[in-house]
Amino acid sequence: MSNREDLEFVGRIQKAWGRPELSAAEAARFDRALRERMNGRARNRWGLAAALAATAAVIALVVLVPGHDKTAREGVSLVEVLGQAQEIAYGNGLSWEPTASVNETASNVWPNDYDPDAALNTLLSDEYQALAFLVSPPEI
Amino acid sequence: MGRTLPVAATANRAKAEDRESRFQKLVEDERERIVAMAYHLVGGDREAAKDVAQEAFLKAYQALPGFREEASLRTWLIRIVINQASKYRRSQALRSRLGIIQSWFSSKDNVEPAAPGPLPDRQVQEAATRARIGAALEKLSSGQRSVFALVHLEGMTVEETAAVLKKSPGTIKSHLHRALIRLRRDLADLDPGRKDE
Repeated sequence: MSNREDLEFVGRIQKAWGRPELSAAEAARFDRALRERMNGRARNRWGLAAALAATAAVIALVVLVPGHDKTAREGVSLVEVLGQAQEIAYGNGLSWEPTASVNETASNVWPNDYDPDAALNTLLSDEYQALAFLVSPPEI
Repeated sequence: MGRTLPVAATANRAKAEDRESRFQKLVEDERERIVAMAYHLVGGDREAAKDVAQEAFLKAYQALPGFREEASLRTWLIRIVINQASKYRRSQALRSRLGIIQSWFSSKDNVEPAAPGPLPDRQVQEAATRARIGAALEKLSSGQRSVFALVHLEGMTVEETAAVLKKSPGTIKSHLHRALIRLRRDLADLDPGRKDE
């Protein structure tokens, strides 16, 4: 493949893909949103405690409620626990993601056709009963 | 006679003001470039790109006092947005795997939302092509994607890209070469060198 053909190919991709430009209004909105985000991070340190407490409550519900296996079959699974924890964190303006180890475990335990019972069994195993593993300190 | 601030307080206020003005200038100078880079790296989702760019600026603001100027501010900021884009993609991959439907960032689709009423065929086709390019870029390795975006979509030189990614120019060229091979395979209809059968 010649260099000229490389350049032509790349040129076609560039043309089709495009490059976003921000209008003056979009730039102003971007700056405003950025400033709000910066102020929000300063104000929402309390949100960490709320997110942790909410995560603990949701996990306690899953782990401690009698008949947890039945609960799993009704749809309360670790998948949803993580999702709820993330929503709670995001709702408080925190950028939170499960730790890398949880991500890895999720990908191991939950392939595309994940099994809620298997997910819940993983949660109940010794390794995962400690709440701390679920939340890595969000950057404030 | 007015009160004067203690020297330390004055110095701290001066530092804070300096940080603010440096940061403001950084945003004004680099906003469009950083949003564009995020756009290339998150698969063409404009709203996600703005989110990722804002996170990158936020991280830069937080780290600015400790910035030691071993690299230029722009180089440093580009590294941050590349990391943020990677974080976004990992988060999206996890969501998809876990089946979480509601997304923090806007739509999973990289095709632009339809305007009211039927779109002209040309716009539909352009959107579809962009979606295919986005999908092809997503299939590249993280290194190939970053290099392709910086060199071919943002016009940086090999040397500038090497400085940003802290790799040798030879490695950058190797990434570019492999990226092109892969993209030609996935976007064959855009390839002028393809032999029609």
